[in-house]
Amino acid sequence: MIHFNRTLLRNGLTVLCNTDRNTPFVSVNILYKVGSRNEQDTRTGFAHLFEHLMFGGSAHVEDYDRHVQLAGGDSNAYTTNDLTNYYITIPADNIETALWLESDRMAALNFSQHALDVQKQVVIEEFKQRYLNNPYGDVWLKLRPLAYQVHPYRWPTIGMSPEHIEKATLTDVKNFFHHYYAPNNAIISLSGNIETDKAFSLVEKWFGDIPAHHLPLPEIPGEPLQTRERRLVIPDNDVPADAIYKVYHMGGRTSENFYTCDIISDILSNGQSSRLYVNLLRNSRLFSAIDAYVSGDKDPGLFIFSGKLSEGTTIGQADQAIEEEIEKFIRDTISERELQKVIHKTESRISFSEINYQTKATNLAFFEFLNNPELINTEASHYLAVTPEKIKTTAIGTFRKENCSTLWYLKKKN
Amino acid sequence: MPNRNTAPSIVPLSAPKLLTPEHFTLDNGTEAIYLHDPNQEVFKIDVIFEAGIYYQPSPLIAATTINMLGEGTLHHNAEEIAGIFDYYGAYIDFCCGLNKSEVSLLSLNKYAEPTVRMLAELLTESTIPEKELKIFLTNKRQEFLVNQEKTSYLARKKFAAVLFGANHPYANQIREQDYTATTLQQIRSFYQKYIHTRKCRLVLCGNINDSLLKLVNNAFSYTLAPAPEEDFHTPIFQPEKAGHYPVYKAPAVQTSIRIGKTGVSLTDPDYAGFMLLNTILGGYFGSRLMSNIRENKGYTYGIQSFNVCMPQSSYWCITTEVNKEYTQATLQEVEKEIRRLQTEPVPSEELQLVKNFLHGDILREIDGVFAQADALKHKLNYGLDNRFYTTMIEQIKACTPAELKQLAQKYWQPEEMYVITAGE
Repeated sequence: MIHFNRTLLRNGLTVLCNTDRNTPFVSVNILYKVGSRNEQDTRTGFAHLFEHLMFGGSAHVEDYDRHVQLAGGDSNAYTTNDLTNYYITIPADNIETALWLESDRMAALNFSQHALDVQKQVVIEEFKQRYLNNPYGDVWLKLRPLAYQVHPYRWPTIGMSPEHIEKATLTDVKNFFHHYYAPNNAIISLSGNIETDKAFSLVEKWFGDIPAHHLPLPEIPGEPLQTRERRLVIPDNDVPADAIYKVYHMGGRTSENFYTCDIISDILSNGQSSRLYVNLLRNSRLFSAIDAYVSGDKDPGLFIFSGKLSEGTTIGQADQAIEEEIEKFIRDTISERELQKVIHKTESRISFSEINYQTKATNLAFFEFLNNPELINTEASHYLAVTPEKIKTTAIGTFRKENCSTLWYLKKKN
Repeated sequence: MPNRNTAPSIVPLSAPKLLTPEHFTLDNGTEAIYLHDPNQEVFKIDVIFEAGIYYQPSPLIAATTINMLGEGTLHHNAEEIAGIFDYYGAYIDFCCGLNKSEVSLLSLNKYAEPTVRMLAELLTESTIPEKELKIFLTNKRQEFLVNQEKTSYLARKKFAAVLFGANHPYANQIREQDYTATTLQQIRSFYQKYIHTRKCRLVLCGNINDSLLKLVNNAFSYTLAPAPEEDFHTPIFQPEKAGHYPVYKAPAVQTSIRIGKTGVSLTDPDYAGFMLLNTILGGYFGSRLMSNIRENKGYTYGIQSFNVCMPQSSYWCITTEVNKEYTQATLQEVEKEIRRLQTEPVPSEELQLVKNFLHGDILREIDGVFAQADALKHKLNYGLDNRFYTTMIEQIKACTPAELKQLAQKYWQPEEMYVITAGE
């Protein structure tokens, strides 16, 4: 059980605090409700590029990092399809340094052409390092636009291509900041060695005077129902083994469907006693790696099967083997012990996540982003409510051919 | 209205609050060290054997052996073993280091009984089944082939080969054919010699209450085997000459660079000062290398330097992946940054900043019972404990620009550097 308090400032900033006396630090986590799903399809990768620019100084802060480091803190950030998250862990005594820095860049970020030019290059190198100079690195660049035709989940957070990043202008940067980086579009959560009252009054002190913005948030197009099976073959890749990806549309992060699908993916592939591991890797040895997981996106997401083929397995065999496992899953009953096992795993995963104050701060902000901070304590009950019947109907509803996109990622032929 | 014009004043950082490790000797003579935190409802046990890569007679043996422990015992097959840990929501992890091998169990206290007993069974009753061994090696071979496609992997491998000598176990040079050449006999004999009922060290942390200690004592009550016969030949370091070693790999849109040499040991009086120096150069986000090569020039997504200690040696290196057009330019900038540290004193403002950062970083490294246990485990290999950090912080605070300049001259002579570039 994680005890926390929540308040809302007049400018719309949501504040959450959890006191944890086991650490001398406080984690200050700021989530902006903007990710690559808010981008235009002609300028993808922008939310992530912008995240880099947030470290370029603000009206009263020439060098953001310098102050974090002077105070003995550490900071970083990440962007997902749904959100952008910034965090500082700092000795509790120096909490005001973190709040000063974060509030100043929320109020008035610096815009500099030089910083933009350099960060464009840095992000393009990041693009290469992760997606291009890395075996199988470009899979999601191909798979997303196969699975999604309309919804912005059809591109990854890094963007569709380096050209989009090159095109970004300082005007884009300013517009983006004024659109999305407002207190009423943000959540601040704190966890660590600090009393709630003190946390709330310090957040009010530093953030209270930042004006709310009018947020003309463009509507995000919903993905139309997929009605036909989709297939894509990418031949001649510089990889040692063929790989296969089969993805199915599923519900969003707060839907009941999400919890059922997450349990299904655990039964299929969480741990070495899971079905896919035992059947396809250990027994038939068709695969050298096999996985089933859910994307966990805010909007309706994907249920993903991915596997690397053993030498000698044909891609057709691999595809069929996954389909057979799905059929078996739908046909056979789930044993009580199998269900109990994944519920234990989920409970222990939640217990382990409560140890660390940084994880708690991140989770509090994330659940608030989903409009239900209580989930930090009630998620387990959503998993417990999953029954074998629900599993069966959900599997039947999800694993339909016309709901599936399949990618064959093939190695170069000798 | 808050005053945004001046930075809030900074409170000096505190000394680390260290938990006192408790010692406990099991009835069979095994040494257990634990850090207890009654607020936790989970615990972790690391079982540490002197059975790392250093001791293996040929490549892959140590890592394969430790990973095979979960693949079958006299009483349970692989699926049943995994089933037990999975059922109780526990995590079992096998890790092969250069000198030590470890099996770690992370579990909820309420399920201590079945998970601790299974852990002990792995150490005393493993059978190393042939079928599972074959699967393991086949799949690892494929991982190896994937790695061979990565310039960063090729650079790391070459660096270790030239620094330690390709035949030294620390270089850990693996070839594709090693995956087919490894035999069941080799693995079983390594298991018998280095793991099966061998002397080990237990490090426990989390909620280590009396009933858990009792359980551990009971589960590990087997008789320890006598020390193995001493037929081990100490490997000899045979480094190549320092210099530039390019590794060709195409196509590659980036070049992986590794620049380094032997490092500084944890027990060396220069250690604290060297860590401070390394942090200034490439050990944090605001480092000179990051500021110059990423934040100023945009050649890379990241560049960092670090020092790694091992019982018989240590190394220090800089790593980065750069736009292939800027490989030479990056090498020149790195050289320039090192030379600056050898010739110009570090300005006092920068020095204070790095001292504070490093102090905070150390406090983070040992924050909480799990982190302190991890840190302690490593220090024990050098006959130290976590009081090491208190001393290190004091030494860092006292370090002067003149001392740093001397250290840069002593440890970073250009003619001693190995430079690896992997890419087109």
